[in-house]
Amino acid sequence: MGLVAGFGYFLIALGPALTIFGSSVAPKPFLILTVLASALVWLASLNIAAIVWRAFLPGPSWVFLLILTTSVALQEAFRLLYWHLYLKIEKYLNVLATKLSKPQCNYLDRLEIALASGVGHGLAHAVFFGLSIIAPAFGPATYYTSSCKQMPLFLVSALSSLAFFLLHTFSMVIAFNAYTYDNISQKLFVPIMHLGAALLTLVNLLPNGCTAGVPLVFLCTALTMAYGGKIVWHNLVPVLNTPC
Amino acid sequence: MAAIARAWGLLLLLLLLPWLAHGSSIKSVPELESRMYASLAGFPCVRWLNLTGELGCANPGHGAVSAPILRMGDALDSPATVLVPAESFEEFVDRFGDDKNVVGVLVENGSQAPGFGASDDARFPQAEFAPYENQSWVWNPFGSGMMHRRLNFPVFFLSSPENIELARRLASQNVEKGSKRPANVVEFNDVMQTTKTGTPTTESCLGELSCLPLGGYSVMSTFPPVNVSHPTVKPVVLAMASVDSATFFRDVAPGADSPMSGVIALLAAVDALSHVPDFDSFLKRLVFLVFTGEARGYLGSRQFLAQLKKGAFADYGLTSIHQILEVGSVGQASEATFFVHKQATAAAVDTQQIIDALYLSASSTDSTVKLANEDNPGIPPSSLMTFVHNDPTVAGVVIEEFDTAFTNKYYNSVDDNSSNVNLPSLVVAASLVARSLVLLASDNNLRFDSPIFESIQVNMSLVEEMVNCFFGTSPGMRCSLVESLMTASHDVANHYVGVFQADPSVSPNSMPEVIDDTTRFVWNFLADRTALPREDLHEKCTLVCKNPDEVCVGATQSQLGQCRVSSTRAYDWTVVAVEHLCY
Repeated sequence: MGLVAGFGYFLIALGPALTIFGSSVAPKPFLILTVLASALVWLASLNIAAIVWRAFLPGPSWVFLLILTTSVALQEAFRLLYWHLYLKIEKYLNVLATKLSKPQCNYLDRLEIALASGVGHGLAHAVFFGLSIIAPAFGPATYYTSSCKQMPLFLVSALSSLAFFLLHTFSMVIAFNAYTYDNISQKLFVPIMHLGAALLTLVNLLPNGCTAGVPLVFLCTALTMAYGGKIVWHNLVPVLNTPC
Repeated sequence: MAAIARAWGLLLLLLLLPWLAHGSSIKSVPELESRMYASLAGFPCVRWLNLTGELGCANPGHGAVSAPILRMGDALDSPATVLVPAESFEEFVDRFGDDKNVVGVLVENGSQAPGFGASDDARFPQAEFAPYENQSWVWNPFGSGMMHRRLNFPVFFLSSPENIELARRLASQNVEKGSKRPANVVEFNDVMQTTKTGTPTTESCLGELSCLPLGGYSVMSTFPPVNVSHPTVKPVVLAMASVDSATFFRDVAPGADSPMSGVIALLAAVDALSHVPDFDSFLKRLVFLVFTGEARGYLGSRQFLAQLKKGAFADYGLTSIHQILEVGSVGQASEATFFVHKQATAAAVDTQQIIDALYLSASSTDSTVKLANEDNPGIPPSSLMTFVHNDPTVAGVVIEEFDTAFTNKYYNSVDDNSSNVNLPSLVVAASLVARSLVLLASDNNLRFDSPIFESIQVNMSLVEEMVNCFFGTSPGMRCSLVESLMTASHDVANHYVGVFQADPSVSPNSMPEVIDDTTRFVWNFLADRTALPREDLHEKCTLVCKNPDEVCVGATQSQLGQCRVSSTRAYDWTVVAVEHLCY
């Protein structure tokens, strides 16, 4: 299948990313910068987790649980850090805006930056977890694991990357909203969904588990997207153009 | 809150999962790739060109081809790679050779049934070179002629049991799954086309430089050595053998009985003769010749004659040939009986002298020599054919282990290996050759009961070691016999003639890497044994010696060679018309 298969898997994983990037991010240069910065921050977080855990691998299968839990915890800590970093930047942006007699940033801007940050996070995940596995798919052969005869390994990887990309993108939107309005249940929603999706990938380890594991992760994604959509719809109409 | 409680419940369930999982895990992407691809090491059948067209196998186009693997006998209703046992290969090609669904073939190295013979050559190998009219005489009754066929798909030979096991497993997995994906697919990279299109014959492709000519180096040695600046002229007795073999699969050509047994017997004879004193006083000169390229159109012998006629060997006192003794296949003679083949047109007196020398030697070595059956049309396929073509009256004979047809079931076959020759036959043959040559060189002035004659002893362990070196895999060409004279480029000797890529005008002695291992060994061995006795203060050397009478013998990676007075040369190719060089 070669090139066709390789590009196919690539587009499955990152097609929506390209669409979102093209429609919502690209028109505003600042958002492109946000995507890049966010991606770097999140790649750093993944690398730190990887470096620490590399020392303990290969290991017994229960190590996976520890890895996932600690890595998700680390990432959520990074998310808080990121939020505080964003507040600082917003302050400086407002100072700059005042100097240039431009309007200050409002809730909509904050949401857009949240979306862009989420895209960055999702891209970091897709590149880190998905792309290196999809690389061999550009050759003539494919591969089915013994526990998943239904889908090639590359398809599972691509779908997983897609699910997590969308999850991260909209998680960031929910998170920014949660920190803005100090909403406890929203604040808890994101880490729990993240951890849940991460642990659900373990279902793929079971024989024929991929038939359940992949849809379950997509379920988490769908829930996140629905919740995020609901929040934005709920908040956007009354607070449009209100200063942050 | 309820949602969170439910989430915790799910979390607890998920904690159990790793213990429920099993199966091997992949630790890295390179490991993933290694599970996707396996390389099946095999020996290819390659594309040959000759004057009239193409032979052998290749991918049909310019790209790699691939198809799912099946075993012979499975339904062939879609493009497939077929795994065929060696015994059934000929039958398979006859039935399915033109089937469009055969994309490639893998041949399993089978355990041949005893009595089964599989020779890839024709029933009269190289009949077109015979100096007589009966070209339908069956010299090679086991011949399938496979190596002269043209196939339009790649064929590879799997020799190692692991590869065969793997191929069988992949094929049976395919059959179990039926036509469902994923299938195990074999990809062939045997793209063997001339580098420019429209050059399907040797003439056109060599003209366009889109193919390589077959060729190599043959070795010539005079005994005793000649003073190159003013050689004395004596009648010459040629003792010759050939060193190359050819099979359907280019790289698996061991050629143990045919023709290497002749080389081994000749080299052992030279070793025995090197201990005979006063050879210089004998009336005739011995010249040892080991040809290559004989299996592919008698390239070595034809080139030799062409150069001889041009006077290229005048420096060695070689301008004409008096008598010829060719050592053919002598590795599996039954009851130490050898047959002398001669052409009816050969000069009577001189030829009879050779035959008488052989009879005398046989009686003193507890072996039998018989004249070949009169009903034979002439000499069997041998280098002597070239000399007879040149001059039908040449006094020459060929010693062989067979009478009216080959007894070697594996002539030019992948199975002509060390189990196809036996030591006693080789040792007796070497004895015969050594003693006959002494009688001929002395022009019958040596009595057969003279102590010199009796003292000619063939070194049996030398013969055994040569068999192990030439046909073994470990140590193969790293054996101590070879290592004492040269360092081989490859561990295992292959007796395919090879392609000629060097500039013909460069002296081969200055480029040892250009000459193949077996020929280089023969050169070093002959140089060492035919040289004047060692003295203490021989000059050390790596490639060449200052004195034109001397050659650098025994230079290896770990020791320098010695300059010894020896007239051993790998005769180089001068520019000859192209069609003579390639098959």
